[in-house]
Amino acid sequence: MNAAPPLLSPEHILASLNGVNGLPGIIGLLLLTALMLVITDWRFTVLGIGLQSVLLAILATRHSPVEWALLRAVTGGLVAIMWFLSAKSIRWGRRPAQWLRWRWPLLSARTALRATLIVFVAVLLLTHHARLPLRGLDPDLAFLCTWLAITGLLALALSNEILTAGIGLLWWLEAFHLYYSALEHQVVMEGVIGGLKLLIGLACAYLIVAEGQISDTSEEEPL
Amino acid sequence: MITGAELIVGGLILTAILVYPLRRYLLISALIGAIAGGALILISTRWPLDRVVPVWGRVVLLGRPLVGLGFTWRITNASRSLLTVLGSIATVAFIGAGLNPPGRAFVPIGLVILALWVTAMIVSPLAGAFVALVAVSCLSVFLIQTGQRHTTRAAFRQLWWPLIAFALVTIAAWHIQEASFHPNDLSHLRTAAWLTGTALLLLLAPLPFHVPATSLLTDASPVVGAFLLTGTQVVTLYLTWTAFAKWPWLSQYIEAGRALSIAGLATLLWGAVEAATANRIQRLWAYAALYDWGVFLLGFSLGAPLEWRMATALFIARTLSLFLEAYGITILQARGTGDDWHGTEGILHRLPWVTLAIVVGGLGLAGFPLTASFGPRWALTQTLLSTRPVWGLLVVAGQLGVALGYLRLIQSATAPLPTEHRLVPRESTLEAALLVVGVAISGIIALAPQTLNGVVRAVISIVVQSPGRMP
Repeated sequence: MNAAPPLLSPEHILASLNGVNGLPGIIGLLLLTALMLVITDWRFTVLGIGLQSVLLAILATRHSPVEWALLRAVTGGLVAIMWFLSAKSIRWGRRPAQWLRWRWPLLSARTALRATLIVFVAVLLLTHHARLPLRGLDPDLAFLCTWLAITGLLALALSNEILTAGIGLLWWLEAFHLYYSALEHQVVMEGVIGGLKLLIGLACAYLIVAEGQISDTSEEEPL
Repeated sequence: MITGAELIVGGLILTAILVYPLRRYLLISALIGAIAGGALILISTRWPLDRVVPVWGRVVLLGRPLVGLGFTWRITNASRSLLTVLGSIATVAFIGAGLNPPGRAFVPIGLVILALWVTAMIVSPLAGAFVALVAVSCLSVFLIQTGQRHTTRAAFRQLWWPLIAFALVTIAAWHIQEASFHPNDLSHLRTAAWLTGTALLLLLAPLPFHVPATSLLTDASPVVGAFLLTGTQVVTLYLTWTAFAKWPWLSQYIEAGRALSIAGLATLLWGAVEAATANRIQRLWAYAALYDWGVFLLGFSLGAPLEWRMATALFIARTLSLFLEAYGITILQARGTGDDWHGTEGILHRLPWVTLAIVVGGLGLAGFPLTASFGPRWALTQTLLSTRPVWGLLVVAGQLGVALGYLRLIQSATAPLPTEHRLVPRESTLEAALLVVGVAISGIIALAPQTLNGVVRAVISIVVQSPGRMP
């Protein structure tokens, strides 16, 4: 009788995704972050958070054990699920048709401003990437870390909605996590950072619901 | 044997869990919260650190460290007096919650936040304190947003600086560790100093980092705003002191005194301009508090040994004025009048004690005579006028800006009572009594500033004993 094929271990999965753990992964993350900042559609944001946490987990395996990277992906996925449920709870059922319909975001002055700032930051980083002061990190990851930190601050500065500004906090924390895991391997700190990501995600998910309720109330109020 | 950390942090969290089912009974939960705050004051002032105290068949040694997960929790003489300040802030806030409850979850969440503040003060290494502050910011989101139906702005902004500061300080801690392995490489210490300095500056929140603080006072319930702002500022000041005491080389790389004085001046001027042009009471209060914070940072930046004496007196007076006005605005909001100038028209005729408390609290933040802040503010202004006259004049000019804002409020409050305000209920006896006590305490401190000497001396004695000082 043939033995059952062994289950895929994290190492096997990682080996099959080896192609992403390099320039393609970095470029993918840069594009994803830029698009999330410019498009500001909540569906794209939530999907982006999930994708981003998977890509970051793959890249983090360069400096961290695979199990930790896996936990990182799970934490990011949980945040994405929380935000999805929050966003769904304030829209789903109310306007199902609108929810299902995909509309390409309109090119407004705000979108143009975001796109311009993203291009500006990208050019600035590309011209100065050799001088990035992140010790102990591969140059491409140092570039990504700085990119995530700067775009995180940009998202905080440019957005007035929790969903689109909250990703700024997540990017900042992801940048720090990527850098710190290259500096030190402390299980406690890994747990603390993961816990903080969940806490921030939870607080933002609550605020997304609260914001939805506020806008619903203001819509219902007579003019 | 129970350690001090287990008793205080565990006790506060346990109380929060017990209060949670009682959150519908607002007065009872507020009373339990106030008692918990009072217990913290009692334990931190009366219990010895180095002798066991029997409690219900168990023994407690307050100064015994608790070690776990790479962190050490230990109550020291340095943290003890500030735990008393935190206990006082919590007690006053929970009593204020009884006036016009800022949401059912205020007391339980407030108690957990108090436990986290205590943790931030007694935990080492320092990164643990910043983790506690991020947790406080996440919990404060729920506290601010409960009962808030207009905007999520204030709640969201509380997350900004603690999170960024946590990342900076954790990386700084790595550099400090590396510096001990490579004593000849000074770049590690330089980087660590800059990262720590930036993190502390973000938490101290002078201009232009003041936005979360002003949003908190403008948009949140006044008692919640005063509670979160003063508590976080106490912890931040303690962390600033701890960082400079623990790493004396910080002052070689950062000119903290100069940075704080410039930041303080910019903050007080901005606060004064915004207060003078404010069109709502809560906005006026927020910017008067910002002006006062700028003056506080200026006082804090003065050279040793003046800074701690000045800073302690200024902070106590600031806390009193902030809560006095918060009580007044809370009672006013409970009456359903708007908080713009039209909503406050003629309120003096219906709510005289509320008006008095708001004006005394506000002018206290401005540092006017016959208010709590006057004594330390007068001393600070005299010192500045004799050493840096331009700075002294700017403080006085700012004072006039804030006073102008409150003059506009007085003008509106003393106007003839409009028809729609004729049915506004008057203050209850309890509310009036609380406000009168607050105004009286403010007046007593103004007329006899030496009443603060005991508290100030207690803080100074701790600072003087410490090896490190602010530059």
